[in-house]
Amino acid sequence: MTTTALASNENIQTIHLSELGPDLSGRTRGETIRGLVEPGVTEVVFDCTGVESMSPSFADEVFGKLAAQPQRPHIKIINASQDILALARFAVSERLS
Amino acid sequence: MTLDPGAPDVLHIKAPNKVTFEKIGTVLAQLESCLRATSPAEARQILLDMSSVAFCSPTGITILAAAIEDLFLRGALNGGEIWMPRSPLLQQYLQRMNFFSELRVSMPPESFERREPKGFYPVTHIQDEEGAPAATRALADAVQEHAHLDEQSLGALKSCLNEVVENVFYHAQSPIEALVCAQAYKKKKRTELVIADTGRGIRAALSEVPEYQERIADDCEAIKLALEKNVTTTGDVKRGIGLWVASEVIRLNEGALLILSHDGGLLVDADGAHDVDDHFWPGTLVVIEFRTDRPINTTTVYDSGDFPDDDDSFGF
Repeated sequence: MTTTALASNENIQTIHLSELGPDLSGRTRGETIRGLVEPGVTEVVFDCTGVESMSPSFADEVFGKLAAQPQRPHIKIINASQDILALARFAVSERLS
Repeated sequence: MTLDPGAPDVLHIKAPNKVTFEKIGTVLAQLESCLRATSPAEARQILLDMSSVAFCSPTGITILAAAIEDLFLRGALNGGEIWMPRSPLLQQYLQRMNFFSELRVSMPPESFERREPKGFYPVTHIQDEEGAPAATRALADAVQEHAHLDEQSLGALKSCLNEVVENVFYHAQSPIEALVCAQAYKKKKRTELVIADTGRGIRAALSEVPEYQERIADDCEAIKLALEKNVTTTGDVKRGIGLWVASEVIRLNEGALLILSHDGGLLVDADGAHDVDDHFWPGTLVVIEFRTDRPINTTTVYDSGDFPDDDDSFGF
């Protein structure tokens, strides 16, 4: 499911979300993705290549809850559409508000 | 015709000329006493008289299929027959919409040639949360043949649909699981999507939370509360955004959202929110009418958050 790459002595983990399918929804699936984030990584990169839609619950479970963790890694999202980026920002805002 | 409509062991349901949400009240009224019964008397046979029906919508079909299936599952029915609509085209449409197979009515093999669905998604069971994404994707693909939504609007529609379907599995405890159905109307530039369950209803789910008790005096109030942001039965006050987002997306689209749950209902459309209290539905029914001529920008909804831009631990 996940690809972990070490680059420049930094512990960076990349998770390819489209491996779950092009339409991402469901708290259970979101929780599974969040559970893939390895302890101690300094940065986690969510690659949204191939992701067509994402539900608010999924976004909350992945980005929102990860952002709310006290020892959170740097969270990066790449190859995402504008609406998925906006949803991710919304999920984080809701959790941190 | 083998069943006697007047026999005491026959539940005779006369469908109106249009099996749509606007007209389905007459059917629900005929089914109401059975649907409300917690312990049904001896099982009866159903005689579904559709001989006057000239038009069916996804909402009407789904309501009929879900209600009758629920009665079978509860042991209130043990068989029956359908008096078919006169129009062969309508019969064919109902067959393609899985209506007869949902009711376990076998059709003569020579009756119709089965064609691939165009612009609609037939009545389909989603059995669990895991099955939701594939089913909603297939549904969206089917309606997209006629709807021609842009990428963002299609993504928003799928997202709304997933939220509503998942709510069935998180909260409803529905014996029929979730039934979904949809149709895109090319000329009207509308898509109608229906999600039905026969579970405990929104009010019963929200009543698990003591803080909500005073705000859910009836089913209409419970539905309104469920549409508010951060209303959840989980105790996690940061949850409960899915249905709120779905209602905001539909509001932006200037479509309509109809929710029936037991004795209450709410219609949210361009004119605001209106109570619908003249139908009984033994669970929760959600109808989404999505305008296909109104592209929507979901970032308008999501930008309502207050993102910590000065926090450099976020790279997006």
